[in-house]
Amino acid sequence: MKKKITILNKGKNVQAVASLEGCCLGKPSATK
Amino acid sequence: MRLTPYVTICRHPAMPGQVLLFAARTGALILLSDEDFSALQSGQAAEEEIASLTGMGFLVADIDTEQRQVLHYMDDINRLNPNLTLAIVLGMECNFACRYCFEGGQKGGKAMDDATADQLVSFIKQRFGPNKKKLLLQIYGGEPLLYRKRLVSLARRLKPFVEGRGAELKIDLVSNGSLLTRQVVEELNDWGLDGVKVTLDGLPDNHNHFRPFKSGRGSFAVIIRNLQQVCGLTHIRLGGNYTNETYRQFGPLLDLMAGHGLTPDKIEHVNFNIVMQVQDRISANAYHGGCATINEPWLREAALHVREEVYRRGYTVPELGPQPCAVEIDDALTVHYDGSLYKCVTWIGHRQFKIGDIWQGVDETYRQTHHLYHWQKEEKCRQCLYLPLCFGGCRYMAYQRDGHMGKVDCRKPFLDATLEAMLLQDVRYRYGYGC
Repeated sequence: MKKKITILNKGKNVQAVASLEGCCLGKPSATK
Repeated sequence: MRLTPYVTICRHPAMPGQVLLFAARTGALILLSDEDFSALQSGQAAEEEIASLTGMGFLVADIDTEQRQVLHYMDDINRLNPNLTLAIVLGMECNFACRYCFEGGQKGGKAMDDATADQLVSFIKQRFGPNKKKLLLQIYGGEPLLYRKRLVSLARRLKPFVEGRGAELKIDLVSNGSLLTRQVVEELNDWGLDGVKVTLDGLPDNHNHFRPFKSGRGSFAVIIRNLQQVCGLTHIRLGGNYTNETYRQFGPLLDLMAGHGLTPDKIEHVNFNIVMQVQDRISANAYHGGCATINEPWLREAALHVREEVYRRGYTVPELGPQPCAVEIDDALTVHYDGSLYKCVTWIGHRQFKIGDIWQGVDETYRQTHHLYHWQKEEKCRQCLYLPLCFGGCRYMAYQRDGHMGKVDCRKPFLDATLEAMLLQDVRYRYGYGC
């Protein structure tokens, strides 16, 4: 395997996800 | 090393010979050649790539360990969470009469009193442990800007406390936008305002139908005028609630906004979403439409269409990745105006889901009443490649649909139908690769 990976988003480790502000960002939240 | 089971693999004619991989546990996204992908699948990743692919969540030591880690993901989140997040309902008065509002008949002149506000400050000081780095206040209502004095009074007492701990106070408003003037934002900026979520429901006629002032007068023009004034002063997060009949208006809405100077650089992100169907006595409103499940077939086309329309005009959508729910985050609570505590703003007023109050603290039996980690017990969840994106879905939606929240709100049919297309949208618009 040659080195040809294009990293578009390196993602978040669990610490970074734990630091996210807010919740339900991608879920249908109640309609208000 | 093995490829994670929580991976989505897509190919597209516009990317011949290439494979797009998405790791749901981290939200990482990579492009690689077919040849390299075959090597990865057969456990022959190049030595120099192994650390990077492992860090991004694509390669794992073994499948069992990876599945165990995802099952205990929320334990890690709760151990590492540097935030104390409180959604605060300062009062239930609102100057709008939105047809679908899930607060139903609860709205009116009930507001937090001085004694409750005093106790709230004490409660927060007690809960804000030495390991905390941020106090996030999500100010809710009713319309939170009807309670601006109360908000400033709370912030005046909490900001010095938090900063004295070497931490930060951040305030987000969930506002209808009608009172969001330059003067208001400038005042709140001094007290830690980070951003405001404002909702526009498509083109003016539709928005004014769904989100009028209590008098019946349309609110669209007022909101646009206010956003023009404040968009450079704080982060604006644009929401919007669509139905099967209205979702095609949300692209044209953005054209209209751009024409008023509310261009993509002025809006932090756009998150249009479905109108949810509510049925219980407390949430009930006069509106009988909306979605009971994210898996309704029309929503597949609609969700992709709306997302494309947002991206195509240069606006940003929230990133795809793990989405923990407040119900399972120990340090995320909702404080109602009377000091009662809930796990999510959706439950306010549902006394059976009250989890304590700011005098007595949290009653931990909510872990049973809210069916924490119900997804761990479901075989279909444990085997699901989307588990880190979903964690059992939305309990409130399940409750409205099923009458209880004991069962998961499975999103797999929706994600099966849309995730690949959403990733390809990301590749094209967020990362600038032609496909």
